[in-house]
Amino acid sequence: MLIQIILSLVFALAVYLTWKRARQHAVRPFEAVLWTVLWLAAAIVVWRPETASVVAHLVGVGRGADLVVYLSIVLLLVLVFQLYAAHERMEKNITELVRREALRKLDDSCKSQVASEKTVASDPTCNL
Amino acid sequence: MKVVAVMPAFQEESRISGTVFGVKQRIPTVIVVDDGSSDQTGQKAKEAGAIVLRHVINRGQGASLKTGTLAALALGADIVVHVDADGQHDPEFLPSLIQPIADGQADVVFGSRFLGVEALDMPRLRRLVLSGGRLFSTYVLGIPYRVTDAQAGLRALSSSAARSIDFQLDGKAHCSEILRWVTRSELRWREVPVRIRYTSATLAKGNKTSDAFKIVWELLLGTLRK
Repeated sequence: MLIQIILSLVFALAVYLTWKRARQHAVRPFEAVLWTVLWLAAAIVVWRPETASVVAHLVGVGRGADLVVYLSIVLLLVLVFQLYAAHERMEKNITELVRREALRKLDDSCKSQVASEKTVASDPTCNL
Repeated sequence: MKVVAVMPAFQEESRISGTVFGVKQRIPTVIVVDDGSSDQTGQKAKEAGAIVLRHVINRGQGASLKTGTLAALALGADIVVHVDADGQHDPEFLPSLIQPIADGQADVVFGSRFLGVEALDMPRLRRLVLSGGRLFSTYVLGIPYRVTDAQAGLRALSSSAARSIDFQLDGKAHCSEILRWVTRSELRWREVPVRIRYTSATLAKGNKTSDAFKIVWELLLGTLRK
């Protein structure tokens, strides 16, 4: 009984935060609706566990609680993968930024000097 | 024909001067990419007469090589040579790396530690890991088995080859990444024997044998990404 109330409060908070983030345009409206549906479904399962069993039987899983666990794991894996992809993109962007900054210092005077076949190394201004 | 050496360096203040000096005997233009070192690496390289580019934060050896290669191309290089900063690569072998490209017989030349020239003091465990790496390269990554050394790190590229290679991996897996690209492309490549000097200092700092696992991990992720 107590667990049902605690979880319901957590879900309500989750829905509230989702829409707050949506208003800040951090989450797209479509995503916010999806998350809301997910939290509502979770609340229904908490208050009426037998609904999960009905769905579980439909797809051939024995108990409702098992189905919830399976789906949670899949959902978590998807989220981890998305985070991983976002992290990789960010790493790449940082590298590109650092690279541009490094190459910016290879200025044109240096390039033209090399083109005229003088040795770069002998000119200290080229050692940026 | 303009040849430019590219040397990624991270925390190499004790060895970079000697390495730059050695390479400059054979290749006058040396670009050192200081990969966010917190020591005097950049300063020492500059004093030794290299062109120094600096990554403001550490991004890895592959990332530095790419930066250096782009810089070399911007400087009008016809041949770009990748050399390690820690002095493991014997500069004596640089001309044999460059020659096939200068002669128009190859687009990419890799240095190999296993083509007859005996490495100095290579630990037995390292030899074992490297031959394991060769099997992994062949059967998991699809790099031809006739590549004798997938991790040498010493290589020369013609400017067109350097331009066409789009290396993506920032870490230490760039060796295999470049090899895979080159051996699957139309580029003409070959291996030449080079000598590597293993000293207690380079063994302590350079690629640790345990890094092999890290490289394998990066490569597997890299394969998934494409």
